[in-house]
Amino acid sequence: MPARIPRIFSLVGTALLLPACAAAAPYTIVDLGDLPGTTQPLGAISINNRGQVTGHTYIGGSHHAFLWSPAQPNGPTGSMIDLGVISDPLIYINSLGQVAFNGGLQGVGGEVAFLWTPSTPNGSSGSAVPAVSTTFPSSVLGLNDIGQMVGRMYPGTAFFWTPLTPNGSSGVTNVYQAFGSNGPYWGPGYGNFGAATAINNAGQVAGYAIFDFYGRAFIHQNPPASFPPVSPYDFGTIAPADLLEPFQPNNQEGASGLGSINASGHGAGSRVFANSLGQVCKLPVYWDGSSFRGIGTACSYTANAINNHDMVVGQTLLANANGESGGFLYANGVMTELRTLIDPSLGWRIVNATGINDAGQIVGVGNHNGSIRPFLMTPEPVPVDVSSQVLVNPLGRRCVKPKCWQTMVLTNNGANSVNGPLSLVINFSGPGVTLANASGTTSVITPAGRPYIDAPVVSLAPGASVNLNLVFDDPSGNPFSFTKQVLAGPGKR
Amino acid sequence: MNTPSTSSAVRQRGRFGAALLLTLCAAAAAHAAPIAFHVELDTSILPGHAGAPFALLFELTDGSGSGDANNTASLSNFSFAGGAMLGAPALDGGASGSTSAGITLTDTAFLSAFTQGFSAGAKLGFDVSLSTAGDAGDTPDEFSFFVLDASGAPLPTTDFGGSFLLVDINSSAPQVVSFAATGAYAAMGAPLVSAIGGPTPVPEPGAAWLMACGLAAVAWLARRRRA
Repeated sequence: MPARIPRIFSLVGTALLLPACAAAAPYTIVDLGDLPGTTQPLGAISINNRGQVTGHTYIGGSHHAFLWSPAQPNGPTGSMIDLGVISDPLIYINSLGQVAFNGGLQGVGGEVAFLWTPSTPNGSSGSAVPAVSTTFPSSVLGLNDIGQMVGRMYPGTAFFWTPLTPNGSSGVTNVYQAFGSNGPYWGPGYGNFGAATAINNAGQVAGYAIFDFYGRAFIHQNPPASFPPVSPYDFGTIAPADLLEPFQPNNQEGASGLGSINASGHGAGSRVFANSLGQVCKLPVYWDGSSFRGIGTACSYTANAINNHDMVVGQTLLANANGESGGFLYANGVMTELRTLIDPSLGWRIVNATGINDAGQIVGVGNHNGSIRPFLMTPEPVPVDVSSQVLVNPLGRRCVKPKCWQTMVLTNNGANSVNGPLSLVINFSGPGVTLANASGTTSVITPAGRPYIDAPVVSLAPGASVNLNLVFDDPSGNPFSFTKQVLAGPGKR
Repeated sequence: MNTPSTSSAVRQRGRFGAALLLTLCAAAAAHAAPIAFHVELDTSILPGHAGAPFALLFELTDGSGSGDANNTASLSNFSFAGGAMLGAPALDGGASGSTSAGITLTDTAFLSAFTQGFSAGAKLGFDVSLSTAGDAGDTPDEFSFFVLDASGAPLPTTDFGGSFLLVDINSSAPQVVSFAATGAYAAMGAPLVSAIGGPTPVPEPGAAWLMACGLAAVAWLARRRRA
């Protein structure tokens, strides 16, 4: 019986377009540039889903926040504006382009949380107000898309601030009451007594409370937002049930905190684990909703941000001989050093990754050819496997040593157009034969190293066909076979 | 007047004859009919051409790759119009014969090929008879015809593989596709293909053959009844 040439994917059944099996997607990286007068470039801190980035730098002797906006949504080029003097690098941006940061205020003996609101959504001009308090010091640590803020404030409380209207500049402040080992007390508090550190759009507030010497992470569910807020603005009490793990007094293992929370209530932060030597070690962690998952094995590092696809970024110890720290991306249980996702010839060393948006764009601090620079990494698009929709019909093969020729007819058997570019990936079942007219070899789609050829079409309408002429080098003249995979859409194969 | 025993014997012979006819018809229908066609190629520019000496290459590739021997190409009635064969042919796989005695290509191997040097005349002509059994895999068997130059490379044609003619045996009525020469050989044009014994090389469809068998069976039974 003649052998049936197998196919990678069945050509019957549903016509779902599946993401091609891909290794960690490669990224492009750009330097976000400088504000006029910058004397000491520092870094990018956070990014929203449009690709707007906030960060900090020095102008003269002053610490400034910047807002970088892309020319096109999520694009690699854009422009930067100065948001003014800040007191620390805690800077947050939401989907509207509001920016929360901390700065000084005349007559207040400490930093104050500011909220900068653009004149138009995602615009590059706007104004900042000391939203939380003009009397007591406050530090903002989290901002959601409604414009609600969380943080800590004098005299030892965590605050929750909500605007009177969505994304408004004036609002009301609530301080959390927390429990303690000797009964309720006010807190988590200012300084090293705990804080509310992140908030999502559903009003879930992440933070840490300190009851002995160590912080314990919590997630507290606020009531749904209402506008105007309901008086007396009591948003509840941090209760034992809010702790992510049972409280164990005076036990450093289990000390934890979350600095970022996504729409699913999952978070990124750090937790102390006991290692095999009985020592304790603070690791970056991903909170999956029911347990902490340690990221990597390097002590003293943390996870900084999480997006709504449960992709986490942070800083870790690189697996190289230099003992350098570097940024990582953690997704689907796998930690990847960011340096492995960019072209090494570009001269970047990723020092820390501080923000990630739902498009997978990552920002942070890098060393570019010896200079500390704010970077933006953007994932390259990954083509889609359309083998179940685009059928491949081989025609006959003819050979004159050392070459063989064969035409493949690709037909869109689905109800929808397939957007190109379109590529046919060839996976030879044995050695000795190569695709002489290959457009390239796979590097992103696994397994890597397979030849592919691009089809000369922009798109393929339902029922339409395109011929692909394959030229093989078969020096031995032996029979050969191969499996086929059809990829569609932009991005490296 | 037939006796009961005689009548029974006739009935038995009649049933046997009908069964034999139906069996033969079914067997014939199960095997797709071969296609036959004549090919003529203008070779008048080849004598004295820089690419000389030239060679003919006839090839049958097995789509399954295993050499399932389910198809055969027979080539005969070669004419060179002033040209002649040069040397002995090279035979690969299931190739045998000669241009004078006739060539047979059976796909007993992945690649069955007959290569024969020739000095070109004004025209080259030959007949092809090709069986049309489909392969079980997704790649069909293919018959192809090339002219090679002195380096062994195919003369360029509008086929990206350089063939002048090919047949993909992907149905019981495969299409004969011809390609025109290009570049320095463009004046050769494309080979002319004509059916042998009819206006087209398309074989009689299996359905028509079955209908003919059915009509023959009816006629045979009717004649028996009259007798």
